[in-house]
Amino acid sequence: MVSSILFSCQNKLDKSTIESRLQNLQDLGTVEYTLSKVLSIDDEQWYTVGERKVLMSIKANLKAGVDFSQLEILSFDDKSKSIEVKMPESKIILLDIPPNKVKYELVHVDLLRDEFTNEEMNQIQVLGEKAIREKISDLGILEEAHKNAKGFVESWLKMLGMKKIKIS
Amino acid sequence: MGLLGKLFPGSGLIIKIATYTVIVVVGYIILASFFPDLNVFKRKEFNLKNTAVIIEESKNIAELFSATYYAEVVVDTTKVLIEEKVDVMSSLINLEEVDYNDSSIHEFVLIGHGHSYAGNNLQSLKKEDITIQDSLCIIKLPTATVFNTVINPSDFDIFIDEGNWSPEEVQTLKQLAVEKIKAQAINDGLLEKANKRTLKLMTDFIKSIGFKKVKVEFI
Repeated sequence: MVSSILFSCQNKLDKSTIESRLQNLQDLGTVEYTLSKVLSIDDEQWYTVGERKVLMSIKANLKAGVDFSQLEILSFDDKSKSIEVKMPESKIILLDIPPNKVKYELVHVDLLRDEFTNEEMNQIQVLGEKAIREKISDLGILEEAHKNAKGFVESWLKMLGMKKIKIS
Repeated sequence: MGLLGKLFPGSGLIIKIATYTVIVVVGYIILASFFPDLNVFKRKEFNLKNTAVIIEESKNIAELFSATYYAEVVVDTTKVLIEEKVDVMSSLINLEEVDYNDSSIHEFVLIGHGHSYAGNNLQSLKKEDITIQDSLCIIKLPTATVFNTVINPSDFDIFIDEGNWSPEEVQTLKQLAVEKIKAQAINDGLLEKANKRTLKLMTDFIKSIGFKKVKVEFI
C-alpha cells in the first residue's frame, strides 16, 4: 500500500556539454506558422491479445523566409533613387516542436499488453515530426514567405530613401 | 533397434519426427536472424493514422536570423521514491499495522542535440529609427534576442531509462534540455555574435545602395 510518496528530482544541469559551436546565419524570417497534428497509434500485432493505443497532440512552430545575403542589387541609380533588387528563393528556416507542446490525450493499454516505453513514445513523436515535414510543401508557406519578404524589403528600401523600387 | 525402441515400440518414429522438427525450428531461427522479414514474430512498425496538419495561426514577422548555436547536452536525473508499506508479518505477530519506508532510486539520462537561433527583430523598425544625412545613414536596431531553441523529437536519444518515469515527466526533462542549450548559447556569446553579424550584414547592404558611411546602433 502506498500511503505517501516523497518525490525528489535532482537535475545535474552543470554536467558538461558534449559539443557546441557558434555559426553565422543570414536569414530573414518573414512568416511564422503554428501547426498542430494529432498523433494516433493503435499497436496491434497478430500474436497479441488486448489493446495498446495512444493519442497525443503536438504543436509545431515553423518559420520561413529568405537568405538575406543572397539579396542581389541588379541596378541602382543614386540620382533618381531607383533600385532593382532580385529576391532569393524562400526557404524553411526552422521547424520547432517544443517538448512542452506535446500533450498525451489518451494512453490505453490492456492488462495483457506492455505499457508504452518512453523510447516508443519518442518514436511516435518522431513519426509526427516526419509527417509535418512532409506536409509543409502543401501548405503554401514558402509562397507566403516570399510575398512577405518582398513587402518587407520594399518598405525598408523606402525608409532608406529609395523612390522607385523594382523587385524581381 | 535400440534399447529405447525395445522398451517403447514405435518410439523410433517419434524420435525421427522430433529430430526433424528441431532441425526445422533451428534452421528457421538461424534464417530469421539473417533475414528479419522472415520472422513471423517481428513487430510491425508503428503506423500513424492519417490525420491533418492544422494551421492554428500564421503571422508576418521580420526576424533577421544572424547567428546560431549548436550543442549536444546531457540531462541526467535521479529521483528517489519513498513508499510507506505495511510489514505483513510484523502486523500479524503484533496484531496491529506495522509500517515501514521502502525507497527506490530511478535514473533517467537524456541526450539532446539542438540549435539556438538568435538575431534582431526588425518588425518594429520605424522611419524614425533611420536618419539620413547626405551619404551617412544611421540606423537604430533592436538588440539581438534568442528567437528559438530547437530540439525536435528526432534530436533526442534516451540513454538510460531505469525505474518508473511517466511520459509527462520525460517531456519535462526534454524541456530542461532545451532550456539548457538556450542558457549555454547566451553564456557562450550567441547574442554578441548575432549583433556583430547583423552589423556587418546591414552595413554591407546599406553601403551597396550608395551610402558611404553607415552607423548601426543597437537599442
